[in-house]
Amino acid sequence: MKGVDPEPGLPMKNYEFFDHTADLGVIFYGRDPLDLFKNAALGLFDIMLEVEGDSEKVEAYKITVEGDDWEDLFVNWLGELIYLFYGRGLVLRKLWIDRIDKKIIEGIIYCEKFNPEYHRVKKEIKAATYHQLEVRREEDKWIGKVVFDI
Amino acid sequence: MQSVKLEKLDKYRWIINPTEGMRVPGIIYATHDMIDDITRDNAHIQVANVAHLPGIIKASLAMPDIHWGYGFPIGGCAAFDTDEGVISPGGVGYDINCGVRLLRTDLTRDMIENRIRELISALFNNIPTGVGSRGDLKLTIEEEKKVLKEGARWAVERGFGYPEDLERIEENGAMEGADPDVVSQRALERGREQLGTAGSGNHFLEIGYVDEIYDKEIAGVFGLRLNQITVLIHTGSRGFGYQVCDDYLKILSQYVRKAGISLPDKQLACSYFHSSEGQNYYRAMICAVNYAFANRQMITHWTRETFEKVLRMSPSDLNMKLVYDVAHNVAKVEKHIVDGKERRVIVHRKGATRAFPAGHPDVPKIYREVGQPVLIPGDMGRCSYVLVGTEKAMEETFGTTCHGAGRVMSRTQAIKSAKGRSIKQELEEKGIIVLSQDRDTLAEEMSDAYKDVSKVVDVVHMAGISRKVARIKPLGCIKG
Repeated sequence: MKGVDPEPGLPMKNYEFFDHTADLGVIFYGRDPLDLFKNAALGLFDIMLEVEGDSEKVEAYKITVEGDDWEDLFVNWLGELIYLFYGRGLVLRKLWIDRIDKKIIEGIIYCEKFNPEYHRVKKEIKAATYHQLEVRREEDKWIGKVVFDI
Repeated sequence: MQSVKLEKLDKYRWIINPTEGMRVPGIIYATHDMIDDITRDNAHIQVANVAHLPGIIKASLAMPDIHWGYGFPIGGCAAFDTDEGVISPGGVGYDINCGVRLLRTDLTRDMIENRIRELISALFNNIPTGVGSRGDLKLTIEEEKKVLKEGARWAVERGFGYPEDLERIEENGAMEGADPDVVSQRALERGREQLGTAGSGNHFLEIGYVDEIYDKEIAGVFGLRLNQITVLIHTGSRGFGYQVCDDYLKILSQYVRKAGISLPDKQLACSYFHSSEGQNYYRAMICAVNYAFANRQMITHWTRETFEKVLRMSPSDLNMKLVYDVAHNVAKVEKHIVDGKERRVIVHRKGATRAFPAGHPDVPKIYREVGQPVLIPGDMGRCSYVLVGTEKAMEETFGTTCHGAGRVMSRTQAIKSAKGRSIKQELEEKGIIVLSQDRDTLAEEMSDAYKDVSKVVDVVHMAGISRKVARIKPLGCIKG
């Protein structure tokens, strides 16, 4: 599958929450796997942060994540982005996916450094879990369902 | 969904008799009224699932604050044979050594009742709480590794608190066996800037006062008296622990496949305790345990400083002493008597608290005549409890009791039901000042979203697996 042009900023809500007693359930949507993984990445940051204004410097980083199947890949993808934020202080602004199949996703992410002046943190996410995890095609769209431990 | 049948064992206990695949029964401590909430959440199925794991001893146990958790239920306790049994990250949880410490003071309620707002806002400024909050401290990886080995002692040696604090912390603030070499670079990076931060969600720091004493003698030994001002700190190992859990869930999921262990739920990923994977998780988990002890120690130090500054009191006048610090998400090797024989077991407590009785060698000397203090925080609008460990807990629950209130409402439900209400104002009307980084957090954490902690505590008290000593009412709280 080939990449599409990266879009600036965050898209419209491409996700919704579902009920879960202790944690945070989210269903992400996309036209195809590429679109789903992209929406999930941007959506995750939309859930975690509110970005106010333009920050100074956006840098590009190569990203590669692997998995055993679509679901494993999806949870690893989200886990990688959670780590980039909490471990490296990187805030995702846009991304370009070069290649995706059920075992690997490769692309370029454009990130800025976390700065409390621009970034208000809304929700702390500990991890993406395998609980109720689903990635599947549903009629004309792809859905990715995940529970975040918060 | 499999069906799991609960039968009443006695007034405070329910049993799930072993069906196919279960190696031992499941036992849930709860009253009749609580069972509907427990089963609605499918938490009882998780109790049954844990009973499938190799080497489980006696029973898969759950406390009255049980609710759904990742793999193991929260409020769960299970012990495994160290030779034939497993260790599981799901039995500890993402927030390794999430725990509670209680500080007491020489202040009484009437002395500071009109200063609470000032104290709360100073604590809010001095202690990083909120989401992704980073401390002032940025450790080098080498220094961070020392924290992982030395725990609270690392903090005390750098001036965060007093040496006498250490004997009032489970494991004296540093669990032995930590090996930073089995911790991923990622965990080290996530932990580097978060030491000395409380974090978000249900983590908090609360000023309260002792409003009821149930056992005067034991309360006296714990240094607690009526109307005394206290501080409760509830937090854990932050991003460091989450990453350790995440890393090892992946490693142990692969191990399960390789070793051919059959699991009813793949979130129960585990490995034999004696295997190298199991040992590595255990040693990495201990690193996170120690990180959390250091974290709470640093927050304690800033709490003392804040009180001293705001109230212009000297440390000796304030006399802010640590009562105790308990871990409620942890796995530990302990000796327990099973069927009349002493056995070395690995006890998992996930949202469950150690409650050792009088005379136990792991209870600090100062408390050994009465038993270990057990700290049970409630939600921010109700109350919290100090209990004491009992011999019955040793007999029935591997020396374990409950850990808190337990959620009944999802966060989204809570936000929905708080719509149009000001939780902050409602609490102020009850005389409780709260500050939070985020309005949603207050809604998510409101009293209605939790079980009544008093009902939870009554069950463990009546069942005898710990006993009530004192009750604490909140006056002010900072939330992440």
